[in-house]
Amino acid sequence: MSESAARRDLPGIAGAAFFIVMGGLALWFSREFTPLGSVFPRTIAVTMILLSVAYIAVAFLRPAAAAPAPAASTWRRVALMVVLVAWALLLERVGFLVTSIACYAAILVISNYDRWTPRMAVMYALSGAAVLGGLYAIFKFVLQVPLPAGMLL
Amino acid sequence: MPGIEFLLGALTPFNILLAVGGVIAGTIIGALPGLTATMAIAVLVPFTFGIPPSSALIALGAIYTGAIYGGAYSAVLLNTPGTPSAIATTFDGYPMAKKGDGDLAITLACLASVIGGLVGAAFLLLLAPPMAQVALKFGPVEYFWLAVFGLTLIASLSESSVLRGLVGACVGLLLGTVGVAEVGGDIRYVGNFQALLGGFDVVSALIGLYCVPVLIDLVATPDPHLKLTHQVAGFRLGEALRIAWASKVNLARSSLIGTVVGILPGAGGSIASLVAYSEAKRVAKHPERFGKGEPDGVLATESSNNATVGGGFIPTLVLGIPGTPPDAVILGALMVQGIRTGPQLFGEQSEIVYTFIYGLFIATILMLPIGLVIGRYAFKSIVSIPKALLVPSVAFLTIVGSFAVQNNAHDVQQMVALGIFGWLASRAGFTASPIVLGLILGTIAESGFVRGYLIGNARGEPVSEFFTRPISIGIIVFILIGLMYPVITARRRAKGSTNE
Amino acid sequence: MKSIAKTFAGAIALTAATIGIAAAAYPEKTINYIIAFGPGGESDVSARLQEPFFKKYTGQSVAIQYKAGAGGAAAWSQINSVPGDGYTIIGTNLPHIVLQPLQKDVGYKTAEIANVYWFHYTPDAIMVPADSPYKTLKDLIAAAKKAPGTVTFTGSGTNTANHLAQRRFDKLAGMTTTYIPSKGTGESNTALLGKHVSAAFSYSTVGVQLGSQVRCLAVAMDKRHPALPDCPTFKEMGYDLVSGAYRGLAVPNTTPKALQKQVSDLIGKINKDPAFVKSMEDKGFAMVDIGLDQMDAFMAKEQKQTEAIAREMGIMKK
Repeated sequence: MSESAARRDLPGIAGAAFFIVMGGLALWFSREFTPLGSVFPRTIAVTMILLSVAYIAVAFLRPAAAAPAPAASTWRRVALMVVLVAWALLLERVGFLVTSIACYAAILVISNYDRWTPRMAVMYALSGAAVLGGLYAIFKFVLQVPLPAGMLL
Repeated sequence: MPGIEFLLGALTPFNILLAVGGVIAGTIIGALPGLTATMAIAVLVPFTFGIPPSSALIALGAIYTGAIYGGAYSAVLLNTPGTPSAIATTFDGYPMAKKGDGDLAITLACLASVIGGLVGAAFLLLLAPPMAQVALKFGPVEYFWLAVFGLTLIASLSESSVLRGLVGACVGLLLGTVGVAEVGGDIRYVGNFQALLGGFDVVSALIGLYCVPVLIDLVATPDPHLKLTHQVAGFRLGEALRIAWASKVNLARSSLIGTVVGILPGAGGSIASLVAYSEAKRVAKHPERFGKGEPDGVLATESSNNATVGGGFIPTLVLGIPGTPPDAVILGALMVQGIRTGPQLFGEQSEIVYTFIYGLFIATILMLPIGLVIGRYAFKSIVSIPKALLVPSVAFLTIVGSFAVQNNAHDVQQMVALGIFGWLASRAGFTASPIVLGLILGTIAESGFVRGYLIGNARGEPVSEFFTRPISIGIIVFILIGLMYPVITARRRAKGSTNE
Repeated sequence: MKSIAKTFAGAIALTAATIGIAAAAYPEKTINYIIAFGPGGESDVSARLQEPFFKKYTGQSVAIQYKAGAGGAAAWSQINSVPGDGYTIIGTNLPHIVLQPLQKDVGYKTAEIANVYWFHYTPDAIMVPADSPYKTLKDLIAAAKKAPGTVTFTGSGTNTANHLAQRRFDKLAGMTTTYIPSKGTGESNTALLGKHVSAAFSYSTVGVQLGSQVRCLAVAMDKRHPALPDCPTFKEMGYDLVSGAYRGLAVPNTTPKALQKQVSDLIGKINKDPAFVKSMEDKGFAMVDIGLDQMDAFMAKEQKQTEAIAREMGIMKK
C-alpha cells in the first residue's frame, strides 16, 4: 500500500460514502409518506448525508492513521457469518434443535485453532453437547420459550 | 421512617427466600444476552399468583434489580449489554476486561448496583407521591428535548471522531423509523419484508450490533478472549471498595440521575446510564481515561441503572403508569391480583406497599454477597472456557435470545443482518453504541416531536410549544452547556499550553 | 381390488372413530393460549383471569405464551400454520383483526381467522382529569364547538379503536377535536394525568384503574357500567355510540367444526361463571357472549361497520 493511501482513513471514507447512499435512498423512499410521517426521516437523512460528507472531507484533509488491519483469518470470519445466516433462516423450517446442533458444531470447528485429535474431538463433542443441551433446556423448559419444531425438531 | 412497622413483615423467612431466589434468578437471566429484565419478570409472574401481593412484589422487584445488575456481566465480558440498561457499561467495562481487570469491573458493578438500588428504593420510600407529580409534568415536548440531549451526549462520547459518532447516531435514528409510524400510520421502509413490519426490535439490534462483531473477530485469531494477568483468588473486594469510596460523589450523583430518569415513564435504564456516564466524564479530573477502562465509568453506569428500579416503581405504584417496561408487566400482575395502584395504595393499602419497599431494600442488600459470588463464577467460566466452546455457545445465546424477545424468528433474522452490518460498520470505524442509542432515542424523539407539534398546533402555536415550557427550557440549557463545554475546555487547555 | 377397498374403508372408519373419541375427551392436556401482545396488557390480564377457570371446568391447565409484534398481526398471521387440534387457541381483538387487513398487507385476511367466541369488550369512554374544568360531556362539546380543534383527545395508537371512536363522536356531536396518538395506554394515561391534553378517548377499564384521579364523562354502552356508576352512557346524553374493543378467542382454521364448537362451549361456560364475571366487571370489562353459532352474523356486521368508518377516514388500502 502506498504511503499516502495508508495514511488515509479508507475504511472510514468507504463507510461514510455508504451512509450517504443510505441517506439518499431514505429520502427517495420517503416521497410516499404523509407529511407528519416524513418529517423525521427526511431530517435525519439530510443530517446524515451532510455529516458523512463532512467526515469524508475531514478524512481527506487531515489524514489520520487508519486502524491497524486486524489479524486476518478471513475464511473463518466469512464462514461464521454464513453459518449465522443459515441458522437464522433455517431454524423455523428445519427445527430449532436440529439447526442449532448443526450450526453449533460448525462454529465449534471454525473456532478451533488446535490440531484435531480423536480425544479432543470426543471431548469437545461431549462438552459442546452438554453446554448446548443445558442452555436449550433452560430456554425451552424453564423460560417456556416456544422454540419452533419445524420439519425435524 | 414511614411505615417502619412493616419492616418486620418484610423480614419473614418466606419473603427473604423470595428475595434471594429472585436476585439469583434475575441476575442469571439478565446476564444472558437477549433476555431482558422484562422477560425474566414475565416468565416468573405466574408463580407469584398464589402468594400474597406484598410477597409477590418483593419477588418481582428482586428479579428486576438482579436482572439489571446481571446485564453488566455480558457487557463487561463479551462487550454485549445483557439488557439495554447495560449499554453504557460496555464503554469502560469491556476495556477493563481486555486489560485483565474483568473481575474488578464485575465487583465494581456489583457495588455500584447495590448502592444505586438502595438510593432508588430510598426515594421510593420517602418521596414517591411528590416525585410522581414531577413525572407527570414531562410532556411530549420534554421527552423530545430529553432525547435530543441524549443524542448530543452520544456525540461527545465518541473519543476518536465526533462526526463518526453523530453519523452512527443518525443511522440508528433512521433504523428506528422503519416500520409502522406511530403517528400517521405510514408504513416506512418495509418493502416486501414482513420481518420489518414491526420495525427493528431494540434487543435484537443490541445483540446483533454488539455481540456478533465480537464473535466474528474472536474466530479470526487463536488468542484467548480475555487474558488473566493475575490469579483469580479473591473478588478484589478491598480494591473495589477503595475505588468506590474515592468515587463517592460520582456514585451519589449517578444514583440520583438514575432515580430521576427512572421516574419518567418510557425513559429507562439505557438513558439513565448514558446521562450519568456523560456527567461523570464531564466533571472527571482525567476525562480522557473514560472509554479506555476507567473504573469510574462502570461505577457511574451501574449505579444509575439500578437506581431506575426504585425510581421506576414511583409512577407505577403512585399513578398506575409503568415507569419502565418491566413495570408494565408488574402492573399487569398486580391487576390480576386485584390490587389497584394509585394514591390509595399509599394510604389505606399501605401495608402492601411498605412491606414491598422494605423487601426491595433487603433484596438489594442481599445482592451484594450473591452478586459477588455469581460474578466470580461468571468471570472464571468465561475466562477459562476454550474459544472453540465459547464462540458457538455465545452464538447460540444470540440466536435463542433474539428469538425469545417476541417468540418470532424474524427477530433472529434482524439480529444476524444487523450483526453483519455492525461488523462492517465497525471495520469502517463506526461503533455500535451510537447506532443502538440512536435507535432507542429515535423513537422517543420522533414521538415527542410529532405529538408536541400536534398539541401545540391545536392551540395555534406549534413552535412556541417547544420553547416556552419551563422544564423544556431547563433541558435546552443542559444541551447548550453540553455542547459548549468541550469547546470551552479545549480553549482553556489551548490557552494554558500557550502560556507555558 | 376388494381387499384394498376394505382396508381403505376400515382405515377411514378407524380414523373417524379416533377423531370422534379424541373430540369427546377434549381437552386431555395443557392448552396453549397465545397472546398477540406483550405481557402486562389487558389481553394478558384477561387470559390470566380465565386461567383458573379453565382448570376448574376441564381439569387441564393453560400455558400462556406471548407473540407480540406489528400490533398483533405477527401472531394472527401465523395462527393457521399451527395444527388444528384444539390445543392452541389465540386471543383475538376487534376492531384490530378487521381493520388491519383493510389498511395494509399484514399477512392474514379477516376471513381466515376462525373465531370461536367473543367474551368481553372494553367500552370506549371519555375521561378528563379529576380537576378538569369540564364537569360534564356537554361542557366538553361546548368548548370544542366554540374553538374547533383546540380540544385535544389522546388515545392509544393511530387508526385504532380509540381513534375511530374519536372520529365517530366528532361526527355525532358535530364538532372538531384534535387527536393526539399515544403509544399504548401508559403513554395516554400520562398525557391525560399530566394535563398535556384536554381529555382521553380511552376505555372503561382505564377509568376503573385510574380511579379518583380521573372523571369519566361518558361511556359507550347500552347501560351504565356497574364499576363506574357515576359515568353516564353516550345514549343517555343523546348520542348513539355503543362501541369498544372486543376480545375473543380463535383457533387455527383447520380445526374441525365439532372441535371448534367444543372450544366455544368451554369459553361460554367460563364466561358465565359468576366469580369470573365479577372479577371481570370489577376491572371495568363488559361481558359479552357471542359464540360460534352467532359468529358469522356478528362478524359480517362488524366488517360492514368498520369498513364504512375506515373508508370515511380514508385509511383503506389503496
